[in-house]
Amino acid sequence: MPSVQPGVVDQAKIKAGVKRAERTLAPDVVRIMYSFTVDWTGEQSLFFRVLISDRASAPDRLRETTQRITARVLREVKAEELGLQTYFNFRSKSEQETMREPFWEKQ
Amino acid sequence: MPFADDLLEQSRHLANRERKRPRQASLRRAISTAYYALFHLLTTASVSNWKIVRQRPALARAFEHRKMNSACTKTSREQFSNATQMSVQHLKTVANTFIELQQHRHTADYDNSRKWARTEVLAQIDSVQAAFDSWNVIADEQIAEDFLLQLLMQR
Repeated sequence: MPSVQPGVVDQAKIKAGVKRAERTLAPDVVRIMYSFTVDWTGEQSLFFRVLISDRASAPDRLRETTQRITARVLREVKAEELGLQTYFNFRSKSEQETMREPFWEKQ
Repeated sequence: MPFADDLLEQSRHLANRERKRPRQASLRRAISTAYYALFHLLTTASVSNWKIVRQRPALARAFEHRKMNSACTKTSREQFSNATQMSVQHLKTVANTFIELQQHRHTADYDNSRKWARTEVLAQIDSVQAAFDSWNVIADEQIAEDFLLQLLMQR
């Protein structure tokens, strides 16, 4: 399995793709953050943190919301061309307001 | 697969156990249980192809998480020519969900610094439910049977 170093990846393209996804998916998506790090297998990976509106995170909408967001983000960043494993986490706006985790506040 | 279905139901129960302020223990166990629901769905399906029923539990213990990860990664990146596009999409949903949940299970079980929100956990459980649904569509197809063998044999 190929291991991709973050320096090899065009980070400007990823940033632009994420911004496009963020704009398109608003207002369901409040903010998309990401970071490069290795996963448990040691493979360089791209971890997305997606802050979504409380309405979008309602239990009866959550599955549709997260599938749609994931597909759009992967398409915009051209994930298949990156050769990186991607992971997604979703948190609602009100949950983050309660938890106040800096990791979820900025890139 | 009653055991896998029960695990998935239990993961949702854990995620919703506390009405207002979910405990981290409940959320972390919910993630771990959701991963094992998918793990058991696939390993049980795989060993059910083994003719000698009494040997199936022993065979089920031969599965290794890392090898299953490699098999799923290979499946996720493979171009299939022996199945419909719809079947390939369903199989890749299963493989990608397995990889994703395995990572989250690892974090939930071992990273004490990580705090989980209920939405994060419910989203992962929903994705496992989607993987179950996809698997039920393709379970009898050759592409799925070959995938089950890969899970056991991948180096």
